[in-house]
Amino acid sequence: MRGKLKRATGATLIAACLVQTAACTKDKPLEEPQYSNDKKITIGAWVAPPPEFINETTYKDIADSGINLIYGLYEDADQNALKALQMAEQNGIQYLVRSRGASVIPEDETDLLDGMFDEFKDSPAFGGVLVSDEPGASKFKQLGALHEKFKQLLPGKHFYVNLFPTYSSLDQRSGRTYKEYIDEYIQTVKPEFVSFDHYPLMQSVDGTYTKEDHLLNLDIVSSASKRAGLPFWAFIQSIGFSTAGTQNRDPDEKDIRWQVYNALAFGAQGIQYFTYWTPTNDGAATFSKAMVDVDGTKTPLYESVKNVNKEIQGFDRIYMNYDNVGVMTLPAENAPANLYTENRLAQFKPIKDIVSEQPIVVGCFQDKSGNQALVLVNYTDPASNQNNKVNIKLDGIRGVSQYDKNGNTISKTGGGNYEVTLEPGEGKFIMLLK
Amino acid sequence: MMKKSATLSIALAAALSLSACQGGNSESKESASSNPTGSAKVQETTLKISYFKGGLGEEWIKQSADAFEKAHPGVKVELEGDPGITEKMGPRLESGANLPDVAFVLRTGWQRWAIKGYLADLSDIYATEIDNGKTLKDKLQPGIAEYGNIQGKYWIVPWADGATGLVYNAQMFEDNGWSVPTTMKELDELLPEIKAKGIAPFAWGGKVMSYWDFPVVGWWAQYEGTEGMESYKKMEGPEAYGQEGRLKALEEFERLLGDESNSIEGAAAMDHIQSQMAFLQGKAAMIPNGGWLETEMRNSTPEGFRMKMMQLPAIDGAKETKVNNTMGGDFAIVPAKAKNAELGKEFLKFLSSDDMLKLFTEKSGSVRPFVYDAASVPGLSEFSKSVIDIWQNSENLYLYSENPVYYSKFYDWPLAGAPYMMIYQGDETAQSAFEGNLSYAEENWDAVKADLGIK
Repeated sequence: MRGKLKRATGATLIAACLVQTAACTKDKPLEEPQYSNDKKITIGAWVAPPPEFINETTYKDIADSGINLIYGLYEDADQNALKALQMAEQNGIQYLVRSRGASVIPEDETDLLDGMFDEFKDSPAFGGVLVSDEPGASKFKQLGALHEKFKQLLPGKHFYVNLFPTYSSLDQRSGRTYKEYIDEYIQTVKPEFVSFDHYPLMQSVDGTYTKEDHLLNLDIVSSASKRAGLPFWAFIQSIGFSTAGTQNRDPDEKDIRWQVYNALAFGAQGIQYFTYWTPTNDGAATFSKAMVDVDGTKTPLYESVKNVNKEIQGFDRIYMNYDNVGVMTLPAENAPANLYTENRLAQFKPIKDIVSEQPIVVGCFQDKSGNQALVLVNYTDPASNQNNKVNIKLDGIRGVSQYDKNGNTISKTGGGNYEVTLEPGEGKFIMLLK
Repeated sequence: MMKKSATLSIALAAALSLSACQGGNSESKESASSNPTGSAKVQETTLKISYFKGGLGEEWIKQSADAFEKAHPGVKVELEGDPGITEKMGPRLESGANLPDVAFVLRTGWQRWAIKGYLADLSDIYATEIDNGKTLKDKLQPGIAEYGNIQGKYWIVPWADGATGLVYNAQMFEDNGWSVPTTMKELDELLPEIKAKGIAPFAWGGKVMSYWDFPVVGWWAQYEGTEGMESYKKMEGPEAYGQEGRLKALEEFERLLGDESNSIEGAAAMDHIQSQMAFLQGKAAMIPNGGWLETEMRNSTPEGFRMKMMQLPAIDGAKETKVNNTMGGDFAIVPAKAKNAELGKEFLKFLSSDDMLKLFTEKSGSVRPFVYDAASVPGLSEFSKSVIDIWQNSENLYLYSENPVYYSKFYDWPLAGAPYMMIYQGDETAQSAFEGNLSYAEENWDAVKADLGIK
């Protein structure tokens, strides 16, 4: 009897506690988890102001736009780079020194790197060295040897190499498939991060479209990086250009936001604009105008990029604490070809169901304490100007803290339902609050 | 339009995604409608064809598909026209996703696709008799019959062919009594006459600067002659890039565009459509272009506008004057993992009959690189006739080399692609571009060979 009573009492107590906990939880105000660190997303940009434009004003403009790492292109590792470093330091940003010399050092003569960057290395703005852009796999062994030496000489500095997109040719990648190319780079060069470019915003006689393999590229690079425990950096097309009969359109703010949020959905820890300053035309490409034109005048895109950078810098200190679990794309049945990925996430526990009018990308995240978050993107071509109503049924989630172009809002999810209409190109970082 | 599918639960959607990815390109289902007898059901098979949607229009493929369906009961053709299909094919072949059964794409490095095993071996259809006792290989233009052959097998079928060079406003020429120039000297004499009428001699677009390849490669080939170009195509060493004809041709370009008054205003910022519109609006007398121009601009051509292609004016010192830079090299493939690869091959054979070749010419106004009487096709426009006349009565140049150094790395301008914009902007001269390409080839030849595993 006593024993029974005891058990009954125990059960009653447990039930009472459960009721109390539920009541307490229900009444508890929605709060975001707090993070003690202050991690920042890297916001890089290709093409720093050319030598004749290296001054306080142009570098202040870079910093004001939210870019925190600018890459030299027209200046080599020379006096111009020193001046650029000085301007970068004054404005609190980092600068990548371009070195045409470093990339051609043979793998058995890496000692040639000794002292090569001594005059730059003590600058607080020295972010590292831009060593190679779009190397074929045949260069990896040499780059690996250079990187090994570089780490000894300049620990903590970026040994910057940027890789080809999926739509590069097998010849460009020295005959490797794209997956082989990325994996071989990671294994051979042993980088601290994986950077790649992919310019998805297209235009044809029939109108606009986005590249079919845009998500596939993010998927392959993010998956390979994740397996290796490395972050990845993705390029953002911030200029229009024509090459060999194809036309990459001039982007607007919707296009910029769309690219940035898609990169974030796959867990990018760095975004990089191609380009900041407008490059001069060459034999391969004819360029329109980037954030700043060739004469140094800011274009409307400058403000667009600044807006998006400010937006993501509103939550990057949180986002950077989360690990990407995977990415869902919807719809799955009769999906348009451009939604194809090889590692599509089948389920993410708090999500019971998703309904959307148009294609969406859903990046799924979790932090070390088990807190979860989403990056939700309207995956229609931003130029098609389609809104996209999305309804997500969530299990065990009382509310969300949502970051987007309008700032931050915390709201309850009535019955676990989260409903939102995404504007063209819009993305959101959504913390799921239990 | 996606509401139905998007309402699926995640689990169901995940299950379906696999089939969507793997089988999106083909389907089979029971159908009675396509059975001529109507008595018993036949298996309906879908043949998915992806094709470059551009200057040739779409009527040729639509009508070809209709004809194939009629000849093959139970087959339904699904068409995917896409201006970006060429660059999409690489990722598709690698991933195996969204594969068509046949693809018609622009010239690109297909050889690596073949080496990687992404392409179906087409050797059997090359050896198959198509009509009049001729195999597909027999029917191809001699200059391109071996284009699809590496490692002893045939992997692609050449698709589009034609003539390129300078197109002129025929009515404008006639109204002003201008003779069509046959030499560069005559062209030079004509330019002031055109400008005196307040008209720019040339329309062109800086966003498609490679269109200047059409006349420039033509001048190069005129200067070197067939023997010289065959020597170049052998690509036995970097000295191939030192042919004098290359320099002479670049100098002609430099001279023509070095005089700003020879170009329409704002040309450097124009794309191909804008420059072609300017030509159709009578703002320029000539335009570097190809046999697809009329079809591409059909919906924008003013009523009564007349254009023709001219035999490329001959460069001083030309060994041969009647040379046509075909810009051939566009091709069709059957992916090795295509759902209906055999049906895809059947389609390529089907398109190689004389009747279908003529249908192509009738609907596109252009030609395929086969030996057939394209000029006899009824209803050809004045422009198409001029194009076909050049194609049938010139030494047709198919500029490609079987040397991997060429098709894997260097192509024709190994330093940084075609140098026209740099010359136009004054960043290079014809001489420096010529020398730069030669030096680059000399300095990198052995390294590229080593990289490609060639001894």
